[in-house]
Amino acid sequence: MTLELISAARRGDRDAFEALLRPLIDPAYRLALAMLSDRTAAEDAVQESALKAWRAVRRLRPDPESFRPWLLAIVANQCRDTRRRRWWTVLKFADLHPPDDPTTDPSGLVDLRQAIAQLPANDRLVLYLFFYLDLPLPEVAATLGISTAATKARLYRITRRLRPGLEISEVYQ
Amino acid sequence: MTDRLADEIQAMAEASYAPNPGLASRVIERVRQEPEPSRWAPWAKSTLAVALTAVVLVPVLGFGILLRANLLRLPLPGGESSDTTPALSLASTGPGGDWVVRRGLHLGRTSGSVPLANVLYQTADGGRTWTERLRFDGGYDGMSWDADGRDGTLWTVDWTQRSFALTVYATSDGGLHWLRRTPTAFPAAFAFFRGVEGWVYSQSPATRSDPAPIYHTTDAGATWTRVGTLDANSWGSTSGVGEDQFEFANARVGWFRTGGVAAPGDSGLWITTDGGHTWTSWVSVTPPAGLENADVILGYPVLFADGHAVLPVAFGRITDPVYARDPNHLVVSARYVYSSADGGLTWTNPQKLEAGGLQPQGSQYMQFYLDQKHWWITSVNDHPADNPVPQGQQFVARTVDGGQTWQVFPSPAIIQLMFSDSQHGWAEAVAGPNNTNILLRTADGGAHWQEAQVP
Repeated sequence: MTLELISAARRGDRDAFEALLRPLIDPAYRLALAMLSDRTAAEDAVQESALKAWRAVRRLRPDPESFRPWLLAIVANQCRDTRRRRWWTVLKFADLHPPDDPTTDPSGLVDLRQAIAQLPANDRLVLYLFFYLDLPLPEVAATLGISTAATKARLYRITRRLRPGLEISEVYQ
Repeated sequence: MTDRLADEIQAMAEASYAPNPGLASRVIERVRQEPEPSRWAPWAKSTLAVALTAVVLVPVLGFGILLRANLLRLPLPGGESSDTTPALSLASTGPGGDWVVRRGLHLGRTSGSVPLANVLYQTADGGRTWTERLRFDGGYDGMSWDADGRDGTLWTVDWTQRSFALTVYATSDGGLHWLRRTPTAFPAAFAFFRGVEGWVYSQSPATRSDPAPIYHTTDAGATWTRVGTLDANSWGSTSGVGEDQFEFANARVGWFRTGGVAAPGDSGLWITTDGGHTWTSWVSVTPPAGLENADVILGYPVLFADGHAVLPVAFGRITDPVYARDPNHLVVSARYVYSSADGGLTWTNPQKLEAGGLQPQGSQYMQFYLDQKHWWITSVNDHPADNPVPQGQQFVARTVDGGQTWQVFPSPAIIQLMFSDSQHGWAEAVAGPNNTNILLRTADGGAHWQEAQVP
């Protein structure tokens, strides 16, 4: 079914494209919001990404697994562009939240949030794709445009940085 | 550790998430207002525009400028005419389609194999036509062919199940027929084959053992023997020196790169000289003058058939002591290539990697070492730190004298390249706003590139 939709979308079938796009708008928005920390900017990023996807749909690979990483890659690129354009804005993930008192946060979320906020944008993207959107490793790799092995290594490196004592089983479970 | 990182990240992201009612409708409506997508890809339009511009400029500016302006579309000297086949989308490859790895290309002067999605294609005419040879399961991880192209091995790892099970496909007739070896009983975090001989660094989500067992096969995965262990205690990817981390140069000498910055007692590069039985991390280099106090990242050794070897090394400074072991926070001030005449045991004669004032930079630069003399590197003059692919003008530089002198050519954004001899090579590049993959070939050492047909 998905392959049929993709084939139709590649021929310019607007309904087929919408059928593929609609269930991914929320994940795309979640990703954009996580990357940009700004609702308006995130919605703009999703809007623009959807348009770019439509304009480029004829080049979509005829593969039933292809649409989601393809769209999310466009969203991620759009978010990067947005961040570059908004050079006057200092984006801090922690700014979204009221000041936390580490002594009243036994969960350690404060430390984690601060640690993630300090990560390079691409590293945050890996975390969100894998842990938040729950994409399988190959789809994360496809979204990033790198190999699965490199994605795995990057994911492991990031998580080890966040949690120096983290066991490998916790990374992938 | 009782908490789960995944739960924490989910909770954290959910805390900042706010529903956006009507967003889907607004997005869909906006798309409906768009005209039907063009049948011409943007890069094709750009190419046409460049070509037309070039035609106009030819009488004025001369042929030399035309060469640079129309780099991608010029026919090779003595080669076939160019084609404009739509490219693969790097971002749309499905599970197993990650052919963006160095061992994803296995291409000689005219023949070769390329995996796309879960299909292996072969060409015998320089990439003009392709034949489907194998459909495989799992995530493509690599392939290896012997010198005459008869015996070949392709291996996959089932990343989707997070069990990291390895499956091996073997052929002895150049790819016409394949034998599938069922998934191994042990996980394969890293696997590497040289023809029918292979090694596995066995680690997975289910096995958190350190040190990791090393398994070995000499019959393309029909039987396996546990030959040793490796206590590298770290995984990582080293910016700018490639992604592969586990390789064997021959039956005895193998390497495992952890991606870490060299420190006393831990060079970040492990070596075995007995086929994986024992491993040591003692590889060291003497810094060039002026870099004695720099932080060091060892790249991946390249061992040639004559016993000589080269080792790329990056010198720089860790910018944040918090990330003292993280190469992504290393600001590289200079890159050198060391040489070895004893198979990689000792490294001397550092040669600076600098071509016409250009140094390889960014996290995606590529390098290829054909032998002691013929090297290629890529460099890009504009590479945002948070972008996965080069976005600015890129160059490919070639030396034929081991780094003494260089020629620099403008090039597409190459993310992988290989040469079968001093003149003939292949490259995978990205183009367009969606990082579309294209396959390129050269017949003049990288001075000119022609887009090749892909399946």
